[in-house]
Amino acid sequence: MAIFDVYRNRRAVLDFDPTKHNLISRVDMEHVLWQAWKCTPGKNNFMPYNVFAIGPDRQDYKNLIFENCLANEGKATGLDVGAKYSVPGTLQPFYGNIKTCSWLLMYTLRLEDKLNAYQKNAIARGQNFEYATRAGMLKSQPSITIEVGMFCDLVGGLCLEQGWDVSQVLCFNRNLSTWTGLPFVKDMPVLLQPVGIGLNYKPTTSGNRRPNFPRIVKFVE
Amino acid sequence: MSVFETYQKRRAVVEFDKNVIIPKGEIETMIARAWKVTPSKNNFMPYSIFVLGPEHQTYKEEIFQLCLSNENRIDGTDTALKYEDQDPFYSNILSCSHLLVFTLRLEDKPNIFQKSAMLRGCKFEATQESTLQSGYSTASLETGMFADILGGLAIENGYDVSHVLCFERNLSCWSNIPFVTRTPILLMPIGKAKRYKIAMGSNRRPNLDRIVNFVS
Repeated sequence: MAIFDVYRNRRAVLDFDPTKHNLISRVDMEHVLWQAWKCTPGKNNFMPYNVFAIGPDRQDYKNLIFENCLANEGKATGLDVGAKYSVPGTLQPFYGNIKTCSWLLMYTLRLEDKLNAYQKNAIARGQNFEYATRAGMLKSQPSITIEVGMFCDLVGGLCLEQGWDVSQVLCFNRNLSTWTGLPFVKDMPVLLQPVGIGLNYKPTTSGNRRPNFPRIVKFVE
Repeated sequence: MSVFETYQKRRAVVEFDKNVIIPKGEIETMIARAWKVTPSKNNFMPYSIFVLGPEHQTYKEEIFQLCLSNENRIDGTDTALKYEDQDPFYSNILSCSHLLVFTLRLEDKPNIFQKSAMLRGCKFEATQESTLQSGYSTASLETGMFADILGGLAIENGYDVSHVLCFERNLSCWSNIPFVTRTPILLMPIGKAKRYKIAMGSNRRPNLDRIVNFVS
């Protein structure tokens, strides 16, 4: 299938189908992640991020991550989100799909502590690699995020091709101190990507269209 | 061709073939398709994409100089001396058919849904000058997604792409490029490759298990 035809199948997922977790095995997920790892470019071959794959057996972690998102929304909006979402008929937060996904991929920054031979030689010659020091890594977070965007997008395409659905969640607290319940999170999270088989999708509303093409893309005359 | 087969063809480009110009209609279609299928948080798409065609060699040279001066500043090395015998990899900016410059974008025309959410107290970084910069990471992630899809579409059409992150982020350095009025995020040269970077055994990416971890 052509790339455009694959990606046009991407839809915003409200809930994944928990009864279909078994349709995406660990081997399947490993294969998709291997393909994305193989094909995603990385500046100077650092790939300064981790991808933590949280499977169907770790609902406890998914619930904790959901709570982090909820608390972050409360902090950002100043609203009592517990009360907001407890009103019957209220649309639940779209990041609620974290709780129903088969696999939750969590992307965090990663400090490179095992340089390859080329990188070591370049440093000896005076080249600076920002991803090789903690201060540099933190300063370069936007660049790392671009690479994460490319990796997750490819994961998305590979999943869609299998008939699975994906989502991207950016509403969470970046402050590492809020992640103490998850022992594997040692550096700043940059993206959450739930994967599964969609059950309910967000309806398209005409009042919420993306900006028109000419407002984003400008051919310089 | 599968997604994997397409993206496996992506290679690091040292130099593009200046004789191969992507027709404007073709590049427009590829970018329009990427625009159509790239998701965005709250549908803001908080970035602009400026497309520099083959007629804009002067701008490409200016941007190349910004990359050089950035490297000079970061490494403290004399790039003129360093690149006496070889070109920096980002010199593919000079030979590409089209150079895409991604920058931050302020949303000054929120849609109906966004407006009503703002009336209910929601705050969106992309809609205010004072908060726009704090959304730089989100815009970067979405730019990465856009660039990835566009890359796949270009490869599918027989072209090559590159991604350049080594440039001055400081907007004041971009004063000679009049259309760049917000912080740049990514440079993406597109064209038909003439030379690819040779893979070196000593410069491999980190092993899969150093990047991907299955949580037990």
